[in-house]
Amino acid sequence: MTAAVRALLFKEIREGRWKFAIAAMVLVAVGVSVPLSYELFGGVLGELLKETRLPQFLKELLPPDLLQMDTYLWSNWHAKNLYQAVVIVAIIFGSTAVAGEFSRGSAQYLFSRPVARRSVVLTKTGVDLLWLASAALLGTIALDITSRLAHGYAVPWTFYAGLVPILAGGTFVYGLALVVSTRIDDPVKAGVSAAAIAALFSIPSYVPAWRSVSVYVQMTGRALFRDGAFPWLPVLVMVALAAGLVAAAAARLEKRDIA
Amino acid sequence: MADRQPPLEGATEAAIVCQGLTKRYGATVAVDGIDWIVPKGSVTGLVGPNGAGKSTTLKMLIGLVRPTAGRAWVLGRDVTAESLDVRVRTGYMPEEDSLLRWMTAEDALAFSRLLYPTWSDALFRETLDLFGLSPKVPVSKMSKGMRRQLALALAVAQRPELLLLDEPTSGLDPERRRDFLNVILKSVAREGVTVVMSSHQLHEVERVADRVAFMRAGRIVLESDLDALKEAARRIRVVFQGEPPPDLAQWEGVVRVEADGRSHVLQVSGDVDALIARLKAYNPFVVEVVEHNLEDLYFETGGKGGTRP
Repeated sequence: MTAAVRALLFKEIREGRWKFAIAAMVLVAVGVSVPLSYELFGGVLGELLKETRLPQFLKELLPPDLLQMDTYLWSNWHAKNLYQAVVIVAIIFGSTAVAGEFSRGSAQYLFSRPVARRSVVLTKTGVDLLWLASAALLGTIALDITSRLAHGYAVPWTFYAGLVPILAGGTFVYGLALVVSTRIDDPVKAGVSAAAIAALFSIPSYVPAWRSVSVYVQMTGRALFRDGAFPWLPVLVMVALAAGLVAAAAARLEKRDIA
Repeated sequence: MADRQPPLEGATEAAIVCQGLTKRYGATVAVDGIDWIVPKGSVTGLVGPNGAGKSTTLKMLIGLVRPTAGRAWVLGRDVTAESLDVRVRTGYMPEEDSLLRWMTAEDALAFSRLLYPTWSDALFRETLDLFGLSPKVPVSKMSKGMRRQLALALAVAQRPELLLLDEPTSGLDPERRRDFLNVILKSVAREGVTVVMSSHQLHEVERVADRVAFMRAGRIVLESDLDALKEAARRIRVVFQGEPPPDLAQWEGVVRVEADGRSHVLQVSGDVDALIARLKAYNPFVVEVVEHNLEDLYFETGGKGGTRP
């Protein structure tokens, strides 16, 4: 590691620690609340299934296996809260990465130092993704511990392995936001634009024939939960696309004037 | 691919060489094909009105802005292809406050010492002491003047071969300005650093600079050794009692004569004392040498279109 990269790491870790702290606190709070709300959810679902006035077709839409702890935790964590939180945090981190330097007025200072702009982008990406992964892991550990304490249920290894596709998808979304961040200097506008673009990528999720190419569907790691099979191909594709986006952001920053 | 710096005709070693350096923003030409050589070890004042292209020129030299056309070399290195190498050797202080807000002087030291192989902790602390800056106060809590001082302390402590200072004293009170200029001068004396300083404060430029470049509408309209410029711009004001000598304009050393009745202003070159002695032979009411300061020279280069820098 070069001295310049060490200097950039010092800066990025220092600047990102509050963003990480907030993301980690939110995810830990949600992670703790998911197992604790099991009885409430289970009670409501059980009552609904027993409810005689409820039409049968509606009862069929409420699968009884949701009452099983593993299904309940996966569907509420990987398929809902965690992946949504990771997408939101990735957009916030990515859209502020470069645009934040311009809005704070520190771009001239940073880019007149002897550091390659490519190194700046790569260091920001590395540190932001490390924060993102750490926050997701902390939230998952909080969920696991709460589940053990409240229900005596320890999550299987696949529960932790499910973090990988979620983070691969988060990296892709981060890449999208990073590209926007090199083009729009206002972090709020960059964030809104990145969110709009990220939303466009959710369209395949609503078309049955296209669901398998949806980043957001692949992030939830259904195959891992159902069959215990690790989704190598989707993960590799999402990571490769993310790498391309980060490279595009670096190339864009390399060419632009810091006026 | 880096372009080699062209050989310089009869010039001493150059810190900066610009050849047709141009920057356009759409239809607007910010810097218009400047050719400029800054000798090593010199202190050059870059003066001109707002929008003349001073800041853009400095930004191109430090690699923040890419030239649209032309080339430039800083310390023998191509500013586009070898920008990183240029930035290791060059201290730059932008016009705008751009320090990271959360940084204290100590944080800035920890960050900068990793970036510059020639960095000096001792010099940094010495400059902070001179300015009376606390190392533990974050930039967000500093006044504008303190932030400028910290920026200069950082630029000087990297012990650069070249210092590019963009309006360095703007926002400083007279006392801080004096300390500020002293740090620059000390750096020049101790390290032999080349300085290019853009400024609206002509008396400051006059105090520290030995060369001056006037910029207008993206062009360097005049660039010279400051003393030579003043020498060349010296005038003799003479008010004759009677008729002036008819061949006055042809006298040796007289470049130009402006007459207003019996009062004449002579633009002169060469031996001024000899010329005064010759004029005194005509028993004039007044004969005096009019020295020009930089402000006079500035307006003179701008002619009627000259605007305040």
